[in-house]
This record gives sequence, C-alpha cells and structure tokens, in this order.
Amino acid sequence: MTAKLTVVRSGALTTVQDGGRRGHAHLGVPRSGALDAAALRLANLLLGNAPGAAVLETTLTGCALRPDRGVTVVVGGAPCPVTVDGRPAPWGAIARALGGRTLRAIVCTHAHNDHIDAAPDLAARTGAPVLLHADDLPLWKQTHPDRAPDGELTDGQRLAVAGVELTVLHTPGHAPGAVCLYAPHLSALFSGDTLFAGGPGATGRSYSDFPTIIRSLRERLLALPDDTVVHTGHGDTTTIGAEAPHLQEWIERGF
Amino acid sequence: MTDSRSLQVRLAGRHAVLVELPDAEHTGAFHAELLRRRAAGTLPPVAEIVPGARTVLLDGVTDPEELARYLSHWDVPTRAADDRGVVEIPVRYDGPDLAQVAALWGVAVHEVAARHSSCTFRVAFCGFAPGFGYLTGLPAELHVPRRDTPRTRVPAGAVALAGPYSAVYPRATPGGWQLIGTMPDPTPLWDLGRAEPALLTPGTRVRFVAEEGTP
Repeated sequence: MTAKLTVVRSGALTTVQDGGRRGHAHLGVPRSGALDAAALRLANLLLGNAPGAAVLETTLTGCALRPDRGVTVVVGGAPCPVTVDGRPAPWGAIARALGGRTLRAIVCTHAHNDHIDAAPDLAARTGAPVLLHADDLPLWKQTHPDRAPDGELTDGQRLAVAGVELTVLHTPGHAPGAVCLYAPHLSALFSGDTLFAGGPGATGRSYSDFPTIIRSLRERLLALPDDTVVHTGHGDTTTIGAEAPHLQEWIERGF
Repeated sequence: MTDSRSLQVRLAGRHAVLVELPDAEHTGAFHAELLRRRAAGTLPPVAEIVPGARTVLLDGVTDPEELARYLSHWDVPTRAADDRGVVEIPVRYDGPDLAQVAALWGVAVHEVAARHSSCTFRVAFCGFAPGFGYLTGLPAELHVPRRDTPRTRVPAGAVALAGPYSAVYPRATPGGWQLIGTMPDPTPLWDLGRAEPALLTPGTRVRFVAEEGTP
C-alpha cells in the first residue's frame, strides 16, 4: 500500500521536485528539478528509490506532514531541526553533545542496529575505540559486516572515565552479548535494552531469549540497591526499587 | 553579413555560453545558422540551444571557452534562411482591443485583420507559458504598447500584440497584451500527445489566416 501524507503545514514555498528534465528550454519549459540535486540523489539512494524520484523541497520555514501509516523518511540537504511527534529527531546529536570533550570509548550495550549504526562513524571522527561483548559479534556483523569492533567487553571489567568507575555486567537475554554498566558511586545503572521502566527488554527477535533475560534481571540487576537510578536505552528513567517488585508479574505474562 | 564585432560571446556558468546580438534580426539569423550547423554535424556538441530576444544560450557544453573562441569568429548572414514550411493559424479577428489597435495604427477596424494576416511572422523565441511563441515580423509602424492595465484572465486562443511581437495565448492566463482576435481551437499550440508538443518552435514561420466571421 502507498502511504498518504497529509500536509499539516506547507511552509514557505515547499514544492514537489524530481531530477528535472532537460532539453525543453527552447520551448520556454524550464528544466526545474530540485535545487539541491546532490541531496535529492542521496535521499533517494538511502531509501532505495530511483535516483530522480520526486521529493518535497522545502525552504526557510520547512513543512509539517502526517503520514497515515508507518513510513521511512529521509530529511536531507542543509542541516535543519527535525521533529517526529513533537520530539527532536537526532541529527549529529552525539557529536554535538560531545562538544570539546574527549571521547574515550564507544561502549555498546548490545549490537542491535539502532544502538550501533553510528558507532563506526563516530569512531572515525573521534578516534575512540568501539567496545562490544564478544557474544554479540554475529549481530554486529549484520549491520557492519566490514568493520569489526576494536575491543571486547567482559563481565566484571572496569572502565574508568572522568573519575568514575563503570563495572560491566554481562546480562544476556535481549541479545546474547547484552551488557549493562553500573556506576556504584553514582548509584546509576545504564541498562541498554535489558531493563526498561515497566519491564524487561523485548525477546521476540532472533538471538533473544526470555528465560535468559529473566535470569539476568533476577541475578544481576534487581539485586542492586533499590535507590539505583536506571538510565534505559529507550524511554523513561526508573529505579531498581520501582521495578524489582514486578519481576513475578513479568514472568507470568511472559514478556 | 555581420562582422564579428556585432556578436558578444560570454561564459554563463561552467557549462554554457551566452551569445549577445544587436537585434532580433541578427539573433534569428544566428540561431538559424546554429541549427543549420548542428543538423550538418559541424557544431561542437551542445545540449540545448535557447534563443531569447537578443541572445542565444548554448547550454550543456563541455568546453565553454573553446566554444566561445569558435563562435566569436562567425560571420552570419542577417537574413535568416527561409527554408522551413509555414504554419498557418486561423484567426477570428474579434478581440476586445481591436478598436484600440486600429486607433494606434490609424486605420479602420476592418483593416487590422488585413494588415496582421498579410505579415509573415517568425517564432523568435518561446517563453511565458508552454506553447507561447514570441513572433517577430510586424513592421515597426505596427508595433503597439501593452495595455495600461493588464487583464487578470486572457482566454486560451487569444491572438495578441505587444511591442514588436504577436502571439497566441495557449492557455488562459493573466496578460497585458492587446487582444485582436481568437484562434478557434488553440489546443494544437501545446499538445503533450505529440512527440513535439509545441506547434510554434523557434525559427518556425507563421501566417495568420482570417476566418469567416471576421468583421
């Protein structure tokens, strides 16, 4: 099915443009086509479209659209703020957040594509090594077949950065090489996709396993102090104390 | 013959050359010569040849500087070669500005049709709207100004005059030209069903033929 886009706000001069058509100027028919031809080609390349497929070319104030189903959209060309459902979409977000600080390592909680797609690019920009648990290499290769991580994460390994010590906890289940990072002096846990506010990470994908993630939660994460703040890979922050009482419910519902 | 001083060749961007000429007559002759040489295979590769009022743009050129040197030595006869057929356009001379044009020309209203249809025009260039050709060939004494107040809507098929040009509106648009008649069926002016959608392409000769019912 073809998705329909409803124009919520057309903005200042948003036009439908394709690659244009040469050879008719002598008839008074201009070439037309996108002004930013390189952005048009790149956006279509990213989507697997024909190189000259039509795009919306916006100016000055952009536009707002509402699709009638899930769609994949590329916003190309000059940098501009992009929001999805009112939230800012990341654009160079990691590089901007770094500012002038030194990036020591890119620690991957697991190798699903939404967590590692920018890792090699960020490594190339900053020189920081990419670290991943070896059990997630098969997943890593699905996204980056030609570029291996630079180092391994192992259970109990300690990473020292900016005066803080992070302990690597191997917590398989969502992915076989999933890890969490625990900073006892900050009372903070970075849980990746192993623990969210409201339950464990999804285990419906290949390489995932529900009993395994329950064991990781019970033995490793929910045993941490109740006041540990959990910074999750998606959604709201929570605490161990808020989540631990619900373990049995999760086991009974099966996800 | 022109001498090479009557022709200015300028680089236009990285892939084009703009040739400036002294007047419409030289421009038409130069354009005709370009088409003749392209047809004969003696013109360096040019993707588009786009005539204007007193310019010709040669676009899609691999080496604009070399082409500019080549063009600047041309001698072009000022009489455009009349080797193409004549397109005949039927006209009912019933335009709302007929009386105004007759007054500007200093003739009786019924004389406008006779004078306009006795000229042989040539499509100097195209623009404004798909299928709109700027036709030259009107004697200088028959040039008229645009209307003081343009119309928000000129109907498709309106036969019009402004400055040195005559034209036929291929579709309804706003317009400020003096309207002297109507082409009863303007659809052939721009027909996407044809391999060549435009009836009036640059260089085409045109005559207007007065239809029955013309006053």
